[in-house]
Amino acid sequence: MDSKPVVELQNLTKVIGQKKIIDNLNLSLYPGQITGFLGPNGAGKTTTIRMMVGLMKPTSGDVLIEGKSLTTDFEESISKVGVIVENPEMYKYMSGYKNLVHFARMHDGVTKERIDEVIAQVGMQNRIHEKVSTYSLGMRQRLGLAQALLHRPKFLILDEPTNGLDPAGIREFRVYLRSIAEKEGVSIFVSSHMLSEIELMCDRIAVIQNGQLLNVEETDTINETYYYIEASPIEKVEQLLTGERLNNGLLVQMNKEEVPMMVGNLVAEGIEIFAIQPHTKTLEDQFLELTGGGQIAESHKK
Amino acid sequence: MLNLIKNEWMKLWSKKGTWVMVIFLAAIIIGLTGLAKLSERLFDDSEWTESLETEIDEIETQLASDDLTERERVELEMQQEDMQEMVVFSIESNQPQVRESVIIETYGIMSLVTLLTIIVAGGIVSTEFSQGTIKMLLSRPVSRWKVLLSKYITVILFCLLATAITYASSVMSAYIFYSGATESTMLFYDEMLNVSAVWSKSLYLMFLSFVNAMIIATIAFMLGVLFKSTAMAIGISIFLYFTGGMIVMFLAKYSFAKFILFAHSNLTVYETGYSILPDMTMPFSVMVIIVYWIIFLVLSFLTFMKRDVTA
Repeated sequence: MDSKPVVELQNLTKVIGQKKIIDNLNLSLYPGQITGFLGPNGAGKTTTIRMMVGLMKPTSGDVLIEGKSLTTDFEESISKVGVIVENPEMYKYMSGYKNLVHFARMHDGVTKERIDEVIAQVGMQNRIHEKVSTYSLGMRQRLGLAQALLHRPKFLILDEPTNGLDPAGIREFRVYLRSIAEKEGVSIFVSSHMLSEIELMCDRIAVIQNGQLLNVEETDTINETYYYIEASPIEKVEQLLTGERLNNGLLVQMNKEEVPMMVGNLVAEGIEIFAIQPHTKTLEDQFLELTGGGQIAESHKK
Repeated sequence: MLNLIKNEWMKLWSKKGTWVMVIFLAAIIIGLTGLAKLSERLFDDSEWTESLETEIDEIETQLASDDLTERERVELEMQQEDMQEMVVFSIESNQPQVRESVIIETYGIMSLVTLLTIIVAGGIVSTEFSQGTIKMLLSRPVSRWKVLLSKYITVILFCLLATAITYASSVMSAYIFYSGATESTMLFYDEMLNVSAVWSKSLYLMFLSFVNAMIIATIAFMLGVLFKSTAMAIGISIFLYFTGGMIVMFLAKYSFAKFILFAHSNLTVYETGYSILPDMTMPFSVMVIIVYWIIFLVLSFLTFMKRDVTA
């Protein structure tokens, strides 16, 4: 990545009681990039996010936002961050508009025009003056996004953002996040359980387990192509090709162009081929591979 | 800071409950004053005065007879004295209420204001936690102490407003229901008070009651911050407000009793002369209140600023 990171987590550690919830986390997030944050339940996703927005104080380490420390320079650094932590909890007894006014007052330089602009962006013009208690979950999510965007943040943190949105809403949301990432160079950090969602939305994926960062990968590299080959005798195939056994066949990584040649080779060796089919290794497979079936945290730490 | 206070004020008045409380406050004051006026006609104490006077006469005749032992005589004389005091009291309390006496006694209704302020103060921080909005509130470019201070100032403003409403509606109903005093002096707790001093005296009493309401509300505020539970904050504060005086009386024989907040929180006693503990002075009481006040606020702010938000 050529540009400077917007956010840097430096040796971030959180100890609660005797337990290390977050263990020495290092991560950089870049402008214009959407980074997914994955991990099984209890891995420390929420704790990490809470430390990134100043709701929790790290035991050691720091979060830098555009080079400003969250611990020592809170107001300055957090002013560049837009946040939706879990479900956006709004003041239910006030209208959506009053909620936005409320949050706008807590930032410098958010004008009335900006509020109206954001309302239009999330498509809430028709119901913005109704009480939040009458809103559906999807509308609350939209309002949550609106409040996070008010002050034109450089960095957007979203915790489970598509929770409660219908398929059309999710798609719209995805397209929208893409566009602000690309047009305004906003760095976006999304935590979600919906793996397929993350796969579609993100450029990079960070996986966390037991408070430790396991892996950071670009999504392109995840989309390697695999082929499933069912043939007999399978042992002979294994000698010729490297791959892993799956059911009765063999899973081999190769490009589409290599397939005909491979078939030719197998036939030449006198192997009987029953089936060759493309096999997409989903993010889910990779995720489970990485996290070892996603057991709840700390089980193999003790 | 002004923006933060505006926010808190907006949230406070967006709740229906706040409006209900304030309207209820004004209505109950006007209603009660009217009711007192009505019942004044129903209850006439002059009969009591008369019966007391006949009893005194009877004692007088008994005393006049010669066949009394010295002990019996002393007893009768003491009885007669008591009776005479009661006659004075009955005549006093049978005096028609006048506009000025209603106004000066307004501070007695301040317990209502205290209750309402406790409700506001106990909930203003803890509801943010229970509704989860605290996450939205604290992930802003505003230091936590500013957020908490804006909330505390809002509580003070609410208490001031409620006090003003109380005074205004009491004065209003005094003018509606009662006529002005005919004499130039009136009796106020064993003291003759110039009628012209009513305004300053009543405002001073209101101020002292306001201080009382605020210190109790500060307890509620602190409990709301410490326990994040509205019910607990309000419940404990109301309990302390009503039993505080009793607790002090129970412990009166111990010397530390004079350092208990509730021996001092009600400063109006220095005007009315009904102090819970003997030998207390205004400056000492003010000192004790200030010390407690600082402790409550320091505890609230430290907890709020250090806390990890997990709600």
